[in-house]
Amino acid sequence: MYELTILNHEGEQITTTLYLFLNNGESIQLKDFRPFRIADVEEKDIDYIQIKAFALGFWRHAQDAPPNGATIRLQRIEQTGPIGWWHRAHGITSSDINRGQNIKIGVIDLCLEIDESLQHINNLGQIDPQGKLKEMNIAEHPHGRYCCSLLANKHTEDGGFEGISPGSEVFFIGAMDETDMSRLNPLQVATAVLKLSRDYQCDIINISAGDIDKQPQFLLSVILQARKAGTVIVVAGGNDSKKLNYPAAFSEVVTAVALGKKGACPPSSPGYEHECSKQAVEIEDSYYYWPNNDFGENVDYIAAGAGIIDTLDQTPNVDIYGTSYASPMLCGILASKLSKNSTYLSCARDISRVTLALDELKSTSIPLELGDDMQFSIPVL
Amino acid sequence: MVIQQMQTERRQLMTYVIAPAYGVASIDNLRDELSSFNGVKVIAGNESVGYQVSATDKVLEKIKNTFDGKVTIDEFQLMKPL
Repeated sequence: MYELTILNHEGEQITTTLYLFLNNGESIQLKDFRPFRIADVEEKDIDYIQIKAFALGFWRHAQDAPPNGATIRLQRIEQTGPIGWWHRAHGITSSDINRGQNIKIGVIDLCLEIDESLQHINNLGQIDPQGKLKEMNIAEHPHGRYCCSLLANKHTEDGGFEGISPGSEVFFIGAMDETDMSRLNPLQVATAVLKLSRDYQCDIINISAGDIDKQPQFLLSVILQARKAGTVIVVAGGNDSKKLNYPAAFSEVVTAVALGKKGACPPSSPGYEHECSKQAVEIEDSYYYWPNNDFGENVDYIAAGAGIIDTLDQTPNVDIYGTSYASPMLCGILASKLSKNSTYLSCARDISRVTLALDELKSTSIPLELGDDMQFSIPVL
Repeated sequence: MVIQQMQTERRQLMTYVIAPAYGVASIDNLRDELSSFNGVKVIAGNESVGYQVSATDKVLEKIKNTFDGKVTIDEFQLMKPL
């Protein structure tokens, strides 16, 4: 028997999800227990725990095995929006809900739960394997909502954080696989890329997914077709400290990995552990290279992605980590740059539009050389 | 012997994406053409991006030869949210 009590900042018991990582390599996810009493697990079996509160506004808590009977107090996220460290890291210092206007961004992810803050997102629905759009499958997976919120959240009344380009017009398509709802179906992703590029004339498409180890030529084909129609494809690098997989490894996409900010995450959070890692190379005094980033010569940019705060219902929600969030961040910065570029806005929808966009991004980014496999730039507005 | 051969073939049955190669405008009735190969099952897909099929290596080789560079053949792998 192993028991843990989880309290909020006011000392009240709260509902949480507990992830237990055991010494034998297995992991257990438990929801809703107050307190957690796990009959068939002993203290000696536990390697590591991570806790996420269901209530809005608490940092995730990460800890090596706490003793049986321990009480853990979760730390409240400060309501310091609308501008966070991730805005400032890229040169954004003040609120502007029109930032990124005139630019259309497509987002392809698992699914999208729309809350009030994201009512302005054009939710086109779920694409089926035959290529038809249908009503969204809603699963308990907030990944797509996190990406859209970071990109385009407009509502920050309760100290929540503004999107990086809230003025952009965002179109969302879900590409959740019908049999494995935790994964995206690559054929549905490919179909969504063509739809967003051709039918909705998106300037930028974000794909915060991948990790395919064998080069998918059919996906490269649609990426090339989208580029030909004037669309820049931005993808997440991957989170396993290994060589890039696809589509991130294609030179025809723009690949983003994650940046963290020193001191942004409290010592009890997973972000603090990342910051203290030997692989967390310091960048520009205040930032660090997120140690879980995949690497390789096709990494183009590093953008804020580790220790970002998601906003839900206008309130800071939870800390999130991953190249998945660096990718929409980069899309937003690019959109913000392009939105005031009259040459770009009047450019034909062909490959020259992509070249112009990428030149603009490159010309105002700071190149970093952190090692052989770590040559990329940090974009600034 | 026949049963053993069937079991071996079943083990080698894998899922692939067969798609028009980049620059090839479209292939008329690709779905029907793929379905006409003995041992190929079209699972999903569409004309624009290609089809997910299950097939043995042996049949795949035949498909490759028949379409002679007009299609690409990739192993089907799901994508992970990152």
